[in-house]
Amino acid sequence: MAASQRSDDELVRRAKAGDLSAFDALVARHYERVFALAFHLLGNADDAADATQDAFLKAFERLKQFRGDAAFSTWLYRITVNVCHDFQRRRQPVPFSQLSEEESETLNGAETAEPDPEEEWQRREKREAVQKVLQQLPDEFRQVLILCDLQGLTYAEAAAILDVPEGTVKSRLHRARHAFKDLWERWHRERTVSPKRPKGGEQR
Amino acid sequence: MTCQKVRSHLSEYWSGELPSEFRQAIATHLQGCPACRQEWGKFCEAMARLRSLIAPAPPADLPQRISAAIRSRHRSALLKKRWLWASVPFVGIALLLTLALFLPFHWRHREHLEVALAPSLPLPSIARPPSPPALSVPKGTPKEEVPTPQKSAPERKAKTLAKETMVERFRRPTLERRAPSIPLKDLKPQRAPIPSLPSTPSPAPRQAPLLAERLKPAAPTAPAELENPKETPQISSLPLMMRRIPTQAGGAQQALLTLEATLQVHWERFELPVLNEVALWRIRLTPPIPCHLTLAVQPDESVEVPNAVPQGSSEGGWLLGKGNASPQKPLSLPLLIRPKRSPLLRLTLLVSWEGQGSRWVILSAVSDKAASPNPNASVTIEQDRWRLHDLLTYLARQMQGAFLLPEGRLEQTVTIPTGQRTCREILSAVEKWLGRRWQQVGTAFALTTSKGEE
Repeated sequence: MAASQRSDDELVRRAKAGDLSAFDALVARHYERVFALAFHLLGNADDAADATQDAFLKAFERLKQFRGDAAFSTWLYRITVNVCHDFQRRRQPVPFSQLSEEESETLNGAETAEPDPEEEWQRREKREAVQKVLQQLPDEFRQVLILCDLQGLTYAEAAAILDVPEGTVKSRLHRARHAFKDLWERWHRERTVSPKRPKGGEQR
Repeated sequence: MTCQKVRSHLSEYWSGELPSEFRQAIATHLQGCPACRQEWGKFCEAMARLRSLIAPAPPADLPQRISAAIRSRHRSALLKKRWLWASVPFVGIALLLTLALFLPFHWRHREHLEVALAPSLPLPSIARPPSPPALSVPKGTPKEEVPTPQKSAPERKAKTLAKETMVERFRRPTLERRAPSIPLKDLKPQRAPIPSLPSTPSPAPRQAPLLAERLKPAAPTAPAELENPKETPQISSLPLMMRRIPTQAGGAQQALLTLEATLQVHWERFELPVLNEVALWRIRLTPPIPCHLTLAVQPDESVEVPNAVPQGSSEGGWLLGKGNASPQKPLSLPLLIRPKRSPLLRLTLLVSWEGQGSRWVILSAVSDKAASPNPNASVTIEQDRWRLHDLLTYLARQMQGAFLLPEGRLEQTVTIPTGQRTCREILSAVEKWLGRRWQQVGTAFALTTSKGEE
């Protein structure tokens, strides 16, 4: 960690001096995690790719302002969170009540192409449902849940990225987990009460 | 231990953050309580689902895309630098023109001349004032229309009176912390007999041929608007400063001065042959008291301001200009603006006076046409809690309008009703939430400080 930190610092120093290949190296080193963070925050891969590009562009433009008080990755994640926040604002969120139908259509279309429709459907459904339930959470809950529980960052790192005290991160995370559990349960209940998707077995 | 207490600590229990006794107590409770055990099971399942979420692999060409975008940005930054040097003569011409345009206004302010913009003057597409003096008048030669700036005795008297009123206002001590709020309209300095303030409607409107000759309208504007002086976008009267200042008087119980004042903002957009896609704007800031103004623009991808220069990171933003200003001597700054996709301009205004300072932000959609703001634009609000900055950025773009408010307020969270709404409804919900009023000033909305700031 310390070695990569040192190496980041060195690359940052060279990039600040105008060495574009040094910045390319920083991109190569961090883009996968930045993309994953953006994907979880935004919920789809196209937006995540755009947000990743925007985040690196912003980092490049503001590189001179980076004084090295925090790790470069922390600073970069902070920019990513802000970029995703703006993305989120710009687009129209999908109302929760419409998720099931939209999802059914997608899944029905995909179902016939899969070798084992029922099993594949269930797996996909759960995965997409988790992502969509996550999108229903308020920004501050989603951010902290993704940073701590999905990206595996420490409270201190999440606090530096979100620019809030560590105690706030902790309490917010616990509330976010409970909120996620409630939404997940609600989604599950709605699916059980009124299944809109035809049974996979009927297709066989 | 109660069920409620156990359920509220499931998250800490799950991540093993509880002290051992507490943890043991919860474990014991879960063993004996089927309902809580079921809740615990649901919690664990939800967390397992969450943690099973894996992001797909990023597109294979993403690093190349990023690298290409960065090189392109780097090149355009270098070009911009070169262009800036190459454009020095153009900027010089633009500045001279601005100066030439500014002079008649300057005289008008000083001498209370009633020279107004010609009706064909391009409308500023940002801040539009409520009651401006745009006027149309019989043609004549410039010499006939702009009298020599000679002060008459009544005007000097009026100006002295205005100064006295101002001084008195700033020195009025208030011993009560919560002084009864005085309606803003009663306190606005421009309502005081200050002949030099441009918000005073001109009783005898005249044309300014200098302007008419030099400028073509940037975009066709509705003549009907210009015929009605109340809708003519020349002057915005914005509430600016309201602070209580501790004084030395009063012994242990310090007296407080109530300071209330307004700033006037003039926006104009001119069609000048600067360069393709780059339009010349002018912003003129007329403070009610002598003070020092610093105007900076926040870097944004959506809009480029080539004549802004970088400054220290502590200041924030790119400097557009700064200087001392007073009611008689406004600060007038040119802006070269090159808008890109869904452009939004964020200006930071730093006001310093008598050791006091306050920071203000102007968020404004930048249109290349003189479009009027549309508060009835429909927006879909899916989430009820918003950062004020995000909400106003969103609304400014949707309604093609502008907002001015204290920088400190931007981080404030507001709660608004969700669903399909008009911008007007959202703004009125913000009013209720903040306990402030929006004052429409042409195309801009300012949050009043009439109830006392801080």
